Amino acid sequence: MKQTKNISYEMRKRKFGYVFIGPWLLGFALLFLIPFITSVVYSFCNIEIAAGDLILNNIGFDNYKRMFLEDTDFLPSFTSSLKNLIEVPFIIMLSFFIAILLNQEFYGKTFARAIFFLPVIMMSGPVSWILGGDPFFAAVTGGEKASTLAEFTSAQDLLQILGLDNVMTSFIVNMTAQLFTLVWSSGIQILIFLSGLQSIPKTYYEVARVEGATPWEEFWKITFPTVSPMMMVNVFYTMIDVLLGFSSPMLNKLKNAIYDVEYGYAAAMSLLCFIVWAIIILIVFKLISRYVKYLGD
Amino acid sequence: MSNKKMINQKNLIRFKNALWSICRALLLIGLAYIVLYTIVYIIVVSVRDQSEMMDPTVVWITHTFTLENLKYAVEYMTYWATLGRTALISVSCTLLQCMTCAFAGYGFARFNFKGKNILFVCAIITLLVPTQITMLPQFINYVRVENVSGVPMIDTPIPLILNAVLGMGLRSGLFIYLFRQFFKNMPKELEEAAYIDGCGPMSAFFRVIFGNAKSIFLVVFLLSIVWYWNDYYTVSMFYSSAQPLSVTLQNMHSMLAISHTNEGLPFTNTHIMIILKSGCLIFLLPILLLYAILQKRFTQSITDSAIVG
Repeated sequence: MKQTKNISYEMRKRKFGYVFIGPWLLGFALLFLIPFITSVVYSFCNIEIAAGDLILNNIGFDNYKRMFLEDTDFLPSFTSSLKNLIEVPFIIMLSFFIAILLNQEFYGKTFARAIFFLPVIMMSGPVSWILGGDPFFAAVTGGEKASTLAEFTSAQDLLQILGLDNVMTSFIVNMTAQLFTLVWSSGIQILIFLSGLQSIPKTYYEVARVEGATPWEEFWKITFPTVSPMMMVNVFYTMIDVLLGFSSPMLNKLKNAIYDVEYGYAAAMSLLCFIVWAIIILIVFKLISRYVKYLGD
Repeated sequence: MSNKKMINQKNLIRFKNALWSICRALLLIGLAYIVLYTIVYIIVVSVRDQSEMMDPTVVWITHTFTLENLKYAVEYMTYWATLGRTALISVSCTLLQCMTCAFAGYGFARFNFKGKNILFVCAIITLLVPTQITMLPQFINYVRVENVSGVPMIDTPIPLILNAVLGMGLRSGLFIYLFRQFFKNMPKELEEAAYIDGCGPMSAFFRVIFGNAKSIFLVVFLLSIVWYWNDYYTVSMFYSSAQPLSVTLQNMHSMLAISHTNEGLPFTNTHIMIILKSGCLIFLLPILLLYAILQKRFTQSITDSAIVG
């Protein structure tokens, strides 16, 4: 008797997963993998535009040499976008703090929650350039600092009148300006933390209170571990946002290179950035995932 | 414990609670100020006459009230026509992107196929790569397809739509991640009941989703619309003739520099600055309105515990 090979129901169901991710998979292959590989090829070439198409002249590692040796502001912008990474822990702490505040029950809490999401709506795109005193627009205003986001000069004068030392005042003003940037960058993080905090069952706290735990212990034993997956998500998202966000100096450099039709050079820069950032994020991932406890996963 | 001691303790607790409420209110108000400052500033500046910009006595309340700047902004941004186009692009790309990411997220969450983890990591990697790496070769490919097949590609909405449908729209990786987390947290019993009743995976998906996923859809929809609305580079590369609001806002300043006011004078720099800010206001207004309408549901759906984690 012939033995027909039957795919089990389970196997068939498993393969159905491919159907669901099908559109995305197609997009990933066509619109990501192929362009990515092409970009790698570009990074070794010098691009010329001719008759509506590109001509690739293979110049080997010249683009990379130019990045490191000749171009004077590649390394500074690259390192300054890496320096922006220092903001990441502050953003995480601040957004966690705000999320804890917003998690409590008080009058106007929906309104408060709505307010803290506004930065996401406003801070992406042209508005942030116009309001943030983008150098492009600063030229329009004839050199006047067009930043509406941080007008702290009067505060600085006030502090100086009060007799505080110059170093102290500039430090305080710097901190306040930083606070501004931090709050404006933490919209999504607050959202993620808030939803995480809301998902902690209240019964945990009741049990802890019955067992005699202080609020401090409650925080470190209940809140913090449960929220740790969200913290990891936020760390990643914040790192990506800071590196690739709208005010990143590296991004400006890339934009300028594309504007000048130096596609090979732009591709080389982007590739290098991507590799370095991927390594950094991988390291962070390995470090953090040890501490993350998943709830029932 | 004597009665008096208990009452004292109660009062102490009440006092502590009141103190904490005050602290919390102060902290929140202080932080909220940072956020609200900008919005209020834009509104206030937009209705100000340009002579008042340099006036140090004018901080919030203006002496003059003029709608001139808003009118200029509307005119130079060709606001009403552009608004329709922008809304169309944003909403259609958002809907398509939502569908594809929901499909992919569900596939990653519920099905255990070979290579699932690697492919999911690939989905996250698409977030990490700067768009410049992929945008340019995509553009070249579209041009080549256009030359070979004769079907117009660049300067049509096709690239944007194709990108959205195939799951490569703006920040699709993040949406796939959110959807996957959401579906992972949904109890399996719902789908199992559907399977027992004879549904295949696809119809189980539709039945399960459209009852229970309103909250995650709202979040993804809002985020996606905001990002498409604010997007400047992708649209101007692939569909440059349909200038959405973000592009006209950017172009407005160069247009203002070369034209004249109604009285025939050229625009001064401060005037341009004010008009730009009025432009920001009317640019943000539809999105802010949308957010104002949806925000109650939105913040409620955040508290719906199934979104993350």
